[in-house]
Amino acid sequence: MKISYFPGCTLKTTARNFEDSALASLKVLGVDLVELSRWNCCGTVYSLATDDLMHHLAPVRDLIRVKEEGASRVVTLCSMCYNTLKQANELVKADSEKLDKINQFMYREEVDYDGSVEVTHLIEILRDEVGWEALKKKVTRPLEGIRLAPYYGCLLVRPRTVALDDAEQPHLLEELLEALGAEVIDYPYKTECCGSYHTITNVGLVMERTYTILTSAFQHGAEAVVVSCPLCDFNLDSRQKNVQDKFSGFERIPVFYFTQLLSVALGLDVETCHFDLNFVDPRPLLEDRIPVSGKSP
Amino acid sequence: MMRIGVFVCHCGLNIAGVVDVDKLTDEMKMYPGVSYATDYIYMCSDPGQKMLRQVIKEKNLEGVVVAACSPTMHELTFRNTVAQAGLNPYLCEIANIREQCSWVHKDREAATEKAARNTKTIVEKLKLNHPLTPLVLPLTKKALVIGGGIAGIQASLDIADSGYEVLLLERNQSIGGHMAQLSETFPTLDCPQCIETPKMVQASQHPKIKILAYSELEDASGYLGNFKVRIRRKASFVDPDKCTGCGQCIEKCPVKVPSEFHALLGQRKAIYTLFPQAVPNKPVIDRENCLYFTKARCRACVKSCSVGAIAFDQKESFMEENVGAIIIATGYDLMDKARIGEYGYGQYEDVIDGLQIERLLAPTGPTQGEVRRPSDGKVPKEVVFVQCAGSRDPEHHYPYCSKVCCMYTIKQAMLYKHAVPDGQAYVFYMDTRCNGKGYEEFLQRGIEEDSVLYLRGRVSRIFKDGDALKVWGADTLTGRKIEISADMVVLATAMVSSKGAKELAEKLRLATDEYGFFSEAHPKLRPVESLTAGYFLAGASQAPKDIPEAVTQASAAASKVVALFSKDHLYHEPIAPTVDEEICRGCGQCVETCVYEAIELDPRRRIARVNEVICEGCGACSVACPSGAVQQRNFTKRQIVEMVEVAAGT
Amino acid sequence: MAKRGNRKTSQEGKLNIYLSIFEIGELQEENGVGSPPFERGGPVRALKRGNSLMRIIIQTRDVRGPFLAKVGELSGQNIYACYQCGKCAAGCPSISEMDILPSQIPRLVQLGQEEEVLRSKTIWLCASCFACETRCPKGVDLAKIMEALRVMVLRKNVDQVSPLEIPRSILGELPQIALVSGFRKFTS
Repeated sequence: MKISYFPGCTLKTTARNFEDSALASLKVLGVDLVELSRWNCCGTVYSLATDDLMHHLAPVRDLIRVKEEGASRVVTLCSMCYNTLKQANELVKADSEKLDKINQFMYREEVDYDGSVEVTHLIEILRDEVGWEALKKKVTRPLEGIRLAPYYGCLLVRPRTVALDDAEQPHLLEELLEALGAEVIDYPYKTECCGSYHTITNVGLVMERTYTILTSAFQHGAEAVVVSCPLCDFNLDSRQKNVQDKFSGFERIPVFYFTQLLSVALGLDVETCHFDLNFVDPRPLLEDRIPVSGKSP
Repeated sequence: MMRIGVFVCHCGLNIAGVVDVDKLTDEMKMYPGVSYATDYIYMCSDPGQKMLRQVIKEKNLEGVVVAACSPTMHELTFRNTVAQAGLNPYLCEIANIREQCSWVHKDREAATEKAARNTKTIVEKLKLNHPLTPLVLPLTKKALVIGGGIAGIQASLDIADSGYEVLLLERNQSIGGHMAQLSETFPTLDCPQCIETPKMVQASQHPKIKILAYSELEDASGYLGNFKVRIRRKASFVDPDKCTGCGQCIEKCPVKVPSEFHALLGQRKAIYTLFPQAVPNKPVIDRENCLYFTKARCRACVKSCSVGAIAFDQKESFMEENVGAIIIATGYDLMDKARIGEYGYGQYEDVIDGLQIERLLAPTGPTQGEVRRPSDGKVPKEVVFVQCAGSRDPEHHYPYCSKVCCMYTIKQAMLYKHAVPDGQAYVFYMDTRCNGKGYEEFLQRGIEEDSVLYLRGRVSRIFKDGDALKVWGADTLTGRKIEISADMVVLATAMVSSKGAKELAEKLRLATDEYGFFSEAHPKLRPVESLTAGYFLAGASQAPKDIPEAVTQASAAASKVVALFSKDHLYHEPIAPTVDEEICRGCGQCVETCVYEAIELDPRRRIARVNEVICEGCGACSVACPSGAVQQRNFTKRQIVEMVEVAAGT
Repeated sequence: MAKRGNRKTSQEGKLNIYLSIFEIGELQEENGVGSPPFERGGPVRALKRGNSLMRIIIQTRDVRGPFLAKVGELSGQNIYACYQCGKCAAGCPSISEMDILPSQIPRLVQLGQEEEVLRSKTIWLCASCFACETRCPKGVDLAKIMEALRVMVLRKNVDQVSPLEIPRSILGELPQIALVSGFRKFTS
């Protein structure tokens, strides 16, 4: 099956490991992610001021792009793109006056947006279109015994109007990882914010968040953390360098995008995973548990 | 021609401030059919009524129209007054020139004209009125009390002491309710079993009270003074006449299951009594867990019973009774803590609720009064109490305040400190609602003498971190987020209406609010009567409340019942419809329309027949009747048409 | 305070407005809402009408004034619905460095304390994680109120971060998503 796909800016650059592993593994599962031929940055994060229409232009324009390709559904990988597109969509679906103004402002667009596009996240597609049982059958390299801590962050599960799962006890990522054969760790910080955009001006705050989240995962027995967002990934992975400088005794822990694990479990060549882009190298852990067919990228 | 008198009330400035009462009176004097018209400042007052009686006699009036406030206020008052003057009360009608006129309009001229039209329509109606006599109904002077908690027990005792018979219905095997589960009661720190058991025993020994334990209401029909109820006596598999209450069967039973009385923190056997002072103190067998019923084994109880009281073949039975009044005293339950996601969805064993901590603190509880936490039996040294867990939360749970939690929390914290002197109790609160007698003093005593730390802020999250329970709260008074590593957390969960109350309400067609609490007839002035005549409310079934209030309300409900029973007869409004048998064709439209099921077709003659006792006089049948055979007394079609013509000004 | 390159108001001009506000007092009303730049987290010098940090005098025009109305309008929230239970603060991940508790922000808005709120570090430390909004028992969306307050400062052309001031090395390592979202929240 084919489905329209919105990558978002970062997936084309620093988060290529997220996108490539996603595209490759989904092909194996029979899902063809067809990137929108034209798209723009979604302008994350969703603007919350009631009179601000300017910042909703970008996401609505992307939804127009989906319509132009004749699709009624679009899938995203990045939590922040998912949240921004979906919240903008919900807003214009509920407020026709605002939608009118936005359409009128973008008069140069050939298509008016009408609220008819459905914004989904890849995990939903995996659950609904592929199914965990079917996924299990396709796994050739089960992630036997690796103890993983799923990290949802904020924007996948809040606010409730766009949440993928329950904000207090989500379990979608757990279901996915278990279908891949891994052992999943529960820990109390899986929906606590990583600090998000504060990473540009207040690294101290992010360090504190990262330290708390990763230490909790580690103490509950995790060997690696799994994320779905390039900003969470940056904060939890790359910022470990800063954390180690500040907090003595901090042990590094690898951070995977869930699609990288999907790729590995489906038996794909590790090149699709671009592990070189992960800050904390996860390859030793993988080599130790699942011989990843000797090839090193 | 009826000699009609019109009395225009000023109602102080309520009417006279907008309507020109002098002009109105003059106009009514000239209206055809009106023999006399006058006005007065307050018709409902003593002098006003005296004047009314006097004028009726002096002017030989045969009908009276009082142009005043809404009939719901004073129709009864004026009808009684005219009756005293020798006039049939149904020849007195009220014209509403206040709620429907002076209170909703500003223009004096227009309002006066409208008031005149209102009054004229009522004069036209009155001209065609017949004198009517209320129906006299029989009355069964026996009460049914549904629910054997403290409220039900109190109500039963009060009615029985007044000389009337009471059936006390309780679905559990013993009366006593939740009060029997408590450790100590605020603000006196009395032992609840010690203060409740005398009343329980009194109820069981009272010659006028019959306790129907382990029984439920199957069905009820009828109306005020004449209810017929069907009660299901559940099978306990123990013969109560033979059983001596020796307890041997309980001792020998090998099965252990979680005990509901211990709020699932302790265990009971498959054959069990609720608590040591149970009334009646006869055990019942829980057939879902009994080895004999599930696997045809064991029978240890039979072997240990020296009087042969075990009766596995006992069947449930039904009984029918006639009663005149029913009191709803079904009590409350606590909201399930598994509904609160941020506190762990009920998965943490050491996060317990208000009733569970009561069992831990109670001397006859699962831990014999030693405070030990459920997971590992350790004595907790850091205990956090969380108030408003589910209450005052319009967004996710219940918007209302559960009233008793502020008081029971400080009590529980104090009792905890008395049991574990080197422990620390923290209370996260929003307010401390301690407005009963001695309540505020009790709170301050707890804080000052037992060093309970009160932190003003709600708790955002409770989660397990290793061995400890992390509690994230706030102290808005100092402006800090507070994090505590607790050994045990007690949630003061919201009080909700008792399980099964909503179904009972549907069965009895009683109004409840959206939360399942039974609706009172008027929140201020009629707090113990339900909207349906004959049903009264007592205790937490009506709204969250504490024990003194439940007892007060129970006595109040009992007094209503006794007042009802003190009459010899009941009277029913005679404004039911009549059926003109010559015209009625038996089409059955009226039967379909009536929501009270008060009209039916005579099967042989195929003519509609009204049950005047059940009929509430709504008039829907007379509207539905295509031939006009059904006409409501004093609200006939002709009367309505005359009224409409005047109102429309034609 | 971020430099603003070719923006119109000069440093001196700013200083003049600053002084006139605090010494004359009335100007604040005339200028309306969201007055001139405040030093983020600096000492509160609210000398309006004899107030000090611990003692404030309030009147109808403070508690029913344009500031509260503006915050309500921009956030779409009923500020009066907040009953300061503190649940939002209790779950806020960014709380460690804040100067005012998140639950005290709507309180200060209710009291008309515009300057204290707009000067706070709190509104800029918010990470828009929505934990507060999800758990608020009154259904108040505090994330939207925080945004409204930030926006009131930003729209006076007071950016909280300037791309020109981020060192190249850091710009190089940050993923775009961090810059996009950061500039969205900290600039107008």
